[in-house]
Amino acid sequence: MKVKKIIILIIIIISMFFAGCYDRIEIEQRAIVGAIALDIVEEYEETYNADLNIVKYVNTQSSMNENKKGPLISFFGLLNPVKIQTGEKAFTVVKVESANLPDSLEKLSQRISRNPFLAQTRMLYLSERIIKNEKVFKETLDRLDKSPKINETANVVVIKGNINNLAKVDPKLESTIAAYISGILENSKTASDIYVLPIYKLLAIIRNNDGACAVPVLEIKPTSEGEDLVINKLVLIKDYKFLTYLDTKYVKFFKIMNNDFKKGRVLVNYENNIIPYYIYSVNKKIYLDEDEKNLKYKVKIELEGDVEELEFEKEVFDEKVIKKMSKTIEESIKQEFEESTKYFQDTIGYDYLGFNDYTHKYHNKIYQKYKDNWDETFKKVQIEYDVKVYIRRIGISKR
Amino acid sequence: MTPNDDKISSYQLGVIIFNTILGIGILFLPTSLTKVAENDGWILLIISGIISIFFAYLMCYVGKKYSKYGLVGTLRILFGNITGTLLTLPLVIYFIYFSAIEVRLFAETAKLYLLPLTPLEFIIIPIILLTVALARNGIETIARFFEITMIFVSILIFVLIIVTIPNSDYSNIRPFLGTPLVKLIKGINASVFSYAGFEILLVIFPFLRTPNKAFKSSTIGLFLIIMCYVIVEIQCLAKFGVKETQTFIYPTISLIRASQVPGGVIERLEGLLLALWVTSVYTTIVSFCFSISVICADLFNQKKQKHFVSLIIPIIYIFSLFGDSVVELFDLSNLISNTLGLYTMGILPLLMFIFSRFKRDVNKGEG
Amino acid sequence: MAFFNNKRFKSPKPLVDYKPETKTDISEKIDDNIIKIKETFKDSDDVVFREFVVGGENGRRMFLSYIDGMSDKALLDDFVLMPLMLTSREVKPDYEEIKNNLVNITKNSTLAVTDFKEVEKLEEVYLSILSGEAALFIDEYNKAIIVATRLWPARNTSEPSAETVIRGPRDGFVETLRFNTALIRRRIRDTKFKVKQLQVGQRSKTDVAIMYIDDIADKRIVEEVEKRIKKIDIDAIIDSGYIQQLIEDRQFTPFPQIQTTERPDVVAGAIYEGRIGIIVDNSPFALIIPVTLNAFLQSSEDYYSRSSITTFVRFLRLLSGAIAIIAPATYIGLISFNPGVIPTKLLLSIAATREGVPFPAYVEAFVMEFTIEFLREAGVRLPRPIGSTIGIVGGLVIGQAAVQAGIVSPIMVIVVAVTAIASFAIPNYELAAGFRLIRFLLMILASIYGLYGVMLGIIATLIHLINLKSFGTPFMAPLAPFEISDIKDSVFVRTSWKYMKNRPKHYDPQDEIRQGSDNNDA
Repeated sequence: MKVKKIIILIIIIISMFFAGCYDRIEIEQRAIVGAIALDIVEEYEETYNADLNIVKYVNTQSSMNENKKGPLISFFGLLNPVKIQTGEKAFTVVKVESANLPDSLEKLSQRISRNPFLAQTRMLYLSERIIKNEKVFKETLDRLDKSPKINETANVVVIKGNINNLAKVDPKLESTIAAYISGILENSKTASDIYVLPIYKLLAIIRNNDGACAVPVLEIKPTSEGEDLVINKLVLIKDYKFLTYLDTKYVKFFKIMNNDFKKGRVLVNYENNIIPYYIYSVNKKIYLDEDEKNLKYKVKIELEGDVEELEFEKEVFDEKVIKKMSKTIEESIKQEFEESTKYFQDTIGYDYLGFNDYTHKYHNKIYQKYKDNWDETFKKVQIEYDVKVYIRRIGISKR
Repeated sequence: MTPNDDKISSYQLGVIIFNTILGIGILFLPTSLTKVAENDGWILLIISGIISIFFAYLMCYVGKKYSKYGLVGTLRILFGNITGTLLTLPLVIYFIYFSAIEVRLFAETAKLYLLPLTPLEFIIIPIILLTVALARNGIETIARFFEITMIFVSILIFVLIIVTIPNSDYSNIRPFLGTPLVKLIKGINASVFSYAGFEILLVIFPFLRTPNKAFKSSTIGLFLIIMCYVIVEIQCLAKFGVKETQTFIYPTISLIRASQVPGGVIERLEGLLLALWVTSVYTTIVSFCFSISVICADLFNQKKQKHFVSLIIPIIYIFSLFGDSVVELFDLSNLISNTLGLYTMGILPLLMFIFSRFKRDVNKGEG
Repeated sequence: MAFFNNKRFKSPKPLVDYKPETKTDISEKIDDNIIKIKETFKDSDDVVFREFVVGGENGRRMFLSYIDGMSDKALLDDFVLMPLMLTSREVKPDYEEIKNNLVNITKNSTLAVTDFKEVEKLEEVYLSILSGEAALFIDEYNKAIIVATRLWPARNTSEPSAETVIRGPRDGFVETLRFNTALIRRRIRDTKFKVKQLQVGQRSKTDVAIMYIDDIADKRIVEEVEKRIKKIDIDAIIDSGYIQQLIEDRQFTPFPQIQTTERPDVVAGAIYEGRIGIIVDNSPFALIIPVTLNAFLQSSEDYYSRSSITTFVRFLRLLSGAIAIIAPATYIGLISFNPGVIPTKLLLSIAATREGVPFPAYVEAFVMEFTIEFLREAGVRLPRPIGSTIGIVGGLVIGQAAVQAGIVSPIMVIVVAVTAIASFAIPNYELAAGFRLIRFLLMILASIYGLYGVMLGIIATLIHLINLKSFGTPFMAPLAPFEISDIKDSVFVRTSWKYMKNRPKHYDPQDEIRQGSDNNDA
């Protein structure tokens, strides 16, 4: 009885062993995709009618046609593990033209000897053209949303400049560009102008705000020693479409208003010295007053930080000096904030600052009155800032 | 001193309730909740949890009174032989369907995230075979198995919660009670069924060493579940916000996918956690299977339930292959819980409660 | 078979139906006895027959028989033969008186030995002789006097080689039952401590001692153990392993349901917990019943060293147990099925090392696991100096060579090595051996289903472990059934002795209190 059971069990296991192993793909048979860059062909853009959302770039109708040419150009940065060990430049870029992302993966399989593996993808680059084209951008978002394989924590970056030049960038200390760029993004913990946006967050924000979102921008600039890159800007997206680039000077403000600011420096003019004020804690509180069809916000911001330098042989170890300094910093930041708010209200005209969200969450009744026409409301809203700066430390010398 | 009488203690009952309810449902829960109640999904969860506790109380009240007769026996006493037997049949079908859907949904999820190329049947068969192996052994062994998995699953949930905490915005659960009350009440219907599983209380009473303590321990089990559900719901909202949560099919897995282990010890969590989640799904199927086998044994006046397990398993397997697409599967699952589930969790306990009150007046000596 | 049984135990069936032996009385005529004994021990040249006469020419005939090499010859010479043959001569024989009373005189005033008894049946005489005792027959007397003269070449107690400790007593069991019981008796000076002796084996007639404390141990378990041992019908018991396997609840399992140990302090400790010790003659391994997985993961040292350190060590053991079971299977699952789980940098370095390895991960894993099993087996059987050499040669040289030849990846060597080390960290060898088998099952499942398969395997193993019972005690106690008070001394923690006031409840002791409530100042 017992022996029979055991024998049956062994037979089942062995037969499964020989019939099964459907999913076994050895690690060295996988092509580890470190980064994906997406672009669309130029002709597509030309034939795309943004107002009517119609594409004139017509494909063949046959669904099994091999030569079906798509609008999407995808670049796959494939990692070469052996070379990474030796520290050489360790990636290969494969360019694929396809109808959409899954199709591009299939076409990729036709081009390389291994099985594409997306679970460890670090970066997703979108070209300017993609975000300017609503249809393609939505399609891309949909793919990112539906695919169970893509790494949801990969960071999204919009590329300003020629996406073909990305592969030419020298990854400096790293062996792959993806590691290089995601390293830069990691620095957002201490550097204030870098905004990080993982795929899941992009999807969540863009969906919760009905197609509005800010995405970090990677600028590729040609220099004398080849291509160089920098990340310190944002691109604003509205209704799933490119709206405008946001300049570096607004990024800190944007991050503080969206509770994304972790640590970073501001430079303040104090008695004709540019002093660095290193912020390591931000505390933001918003108060709302409603009077006669207009909303009044009062934003109270408390900053904690260090003044890192002043001037050689100038007394800092003095309460008066500290007070004066914090006053200056307060004023400077407040002014900066007011300007930025104005820019957002007047020039951009769309609420990227989270007032919408705040009103909905904390003053739902008021929000219900204004929610249908929030864009207009936001333009008229009065926003006051109350900045409080604390200087906690001043370095290790008194003068 | 633990006597060897194939009966379970009240602590073990709590464990069984916990493990039975906690299954595949938690992987889909936040979406359906957010769909009906938006930010107030967690409030809805608490309300429907309390409602479940109320129905658990009804079941315990009747079960305590007729603890030695079992479900079929009780129904026969309360409603007469033929009616009693007929009332059991929807229950059996519900239990079978429920475990089948549970297996199928798990297999679908596993296929999506773990084994994309393995055929569905190949994923379902081993877990079903293991179900036979455990469900045959009687309640005491099952209870002991659940005690071990309870520790394991608790650790798992704890890890899940800890890992998802960073980068969450808890203001997303505001505004409180922003949804219209009518919508909330309608939503109760959907969220009560996320607690499906405590209806094994109907079956389990003959196996209890202390039937009087049953309500207390099952309440504790349910309470733990409410806590788990609420935390997962809140985490999901905090991570994604309302509109994004509404669109997911597998929100909890999406939640895990969007999380990273600090220090990068583990890169992608969802494969690992889903593999570990098998235990939780497995415990649900086992207790349902056991319940069916007990009911069947009672229906056919057999003493041994274990042979019925082997008989039921092929039926569950066949049922689990129903439903062509995932959409159809979800529709089917909703249909089952709205009809048979409602009957099992709501109507039947209520009927039994009313009739047992009535019965007491007739013959006071009994019970 | 029935699971709805109300009986606590399932006893194994006896192999052969028990046949009661016919017994022969000892004859009053000494010649009959001599003939019978000589006939029985025919062709056994190590049996000594010594006939002599006491009290001169017409004295009583006597007959002494023993086995050369198993009896104490000096004792026989000095305290049996000397008084009978010489001292009796010095006494002026008052013939009639002595003749009638010779038996009593012999017993009461001649034989200067502490331990002797009288038997009436010849079979008992044979058994005594075979056990190393001397049988003395007296003419016209229908009983035989058995003089306890057992003495055979025996090993001195030495430190057990399989269970060494840093902190703790150094003595270990030997092959002689009586020494072993003495080693335990020395630790339990209690009148309630019982040593019940049985003989098992049709031909070997091996002594088996069941030891327990009467008012602590669960009576039902004691009875059950006795019953099962009595039911054994086998020709010979060579080692306690025979007994162990013959009385176990379940045979087809890699997990032992009876603990074995070479250390008397472990047995004594177990007996104090309300468990039962069994010592089998000719075996230095004592058995402890019942046992749980919890007990297998404990070492005697745990109770002698500090609780915080022990808690840490127990955590290590739990971890090592987990690693020993799942590490290679998880490796297969991760490498071949779900590489997404591995951190990117590690993934890349693994991928780089696996580049050029000709086999899939599961073949690699099986090859290396079998290699290490070969090494282990070879190392155990070889003489100690060579054994360690084999370990070094195998571990270092083969591993290095295999990596350089590109047959396996270095990470696989690490996984296998860690697994091996982890399995050595499990205190009980037999349990570790069981884990080894489970490991292979998990590896097969992992190569079919990846991580899902590993989980299925763990569930299957867990079902099996849950189903195991050691003499009515669930194998997974105190985790399942959960016993909160027993967690104080479990796989997770060992609290300080001050807090372990009660005996473990899952062994069902009659008397649960271990410490008085006086020393509860904390």
